[in-house]
Amino acid sequence: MVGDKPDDVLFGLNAGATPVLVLTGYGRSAAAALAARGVRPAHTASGILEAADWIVRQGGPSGHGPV
Amino acid sequence: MTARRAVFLDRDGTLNEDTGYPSDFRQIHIYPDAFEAVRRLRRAGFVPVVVTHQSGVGRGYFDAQDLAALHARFLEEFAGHDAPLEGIYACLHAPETGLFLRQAAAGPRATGRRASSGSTPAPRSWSETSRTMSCSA
Repeated sequence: MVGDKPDDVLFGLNAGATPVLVLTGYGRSAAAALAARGVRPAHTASGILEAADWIVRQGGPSGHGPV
Repeated sequence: MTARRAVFLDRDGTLNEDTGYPSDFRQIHIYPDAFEAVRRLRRAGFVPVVVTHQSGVGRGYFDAQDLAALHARFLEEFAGHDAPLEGIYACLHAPETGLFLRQAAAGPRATGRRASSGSTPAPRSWSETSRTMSCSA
C-alpha cells in the first residue's frame, strides 16, 4: 500500500500489505505522526516513482501478499 | 489461474497533487512520475489498484456520480499513457461514520464486466483486504 497519510500506512498494515510512505502530499507530516506513534512503514520514498522502484526491487509478483 | 500480486496506490497526494476535495477531473493534477511508476509496476508483473478515501461524498461536497465520472477520466488518462490501472476503489463515507463502502471503477481490462454486476473482478488480495479493512482513512 503506497500512500502519503498515516491512515494509508495503517491501512496497509491492517490489510497485511507492505506499507510504503511517500513524502509527496502530506507525507512529511505523516512521517512525523507515524514516528510519534511508533509505526514504521516498510519503506519511505520521495515519491511514487521511487516507491515503485523499491517495490519492484523487493521481488516480483510471485512473492506473497499484496503491497 | 495464476495468482497476481496487487499493489494498492492511494490517489490524492500519491498519484496526483492533493487539492482538497476535487469533484471534477479538471481539478486533478497527476504527478508526471505516476505514469512511469505504474508502467514499471506493470512491467514487473504487479497489478496496480487505486484505493482512495473520498469523504467529499459523505460530506455532501459532491456525489457518487461526479466521483465515478472523475475516476473514469482518471483511468482513461493512465491508460492513454500506457500505464493502465486495474481499477479504483473508493470509500465514500465521512470520517465519523466508519463504514466501508466500495465504489468500483473498472479498469480498461474489465470494462465489459462492470455495469451489470456493479463490482469489478479484483485481484484476490484485494478481496482479502476489503474484508479486513474499515474505512478509517
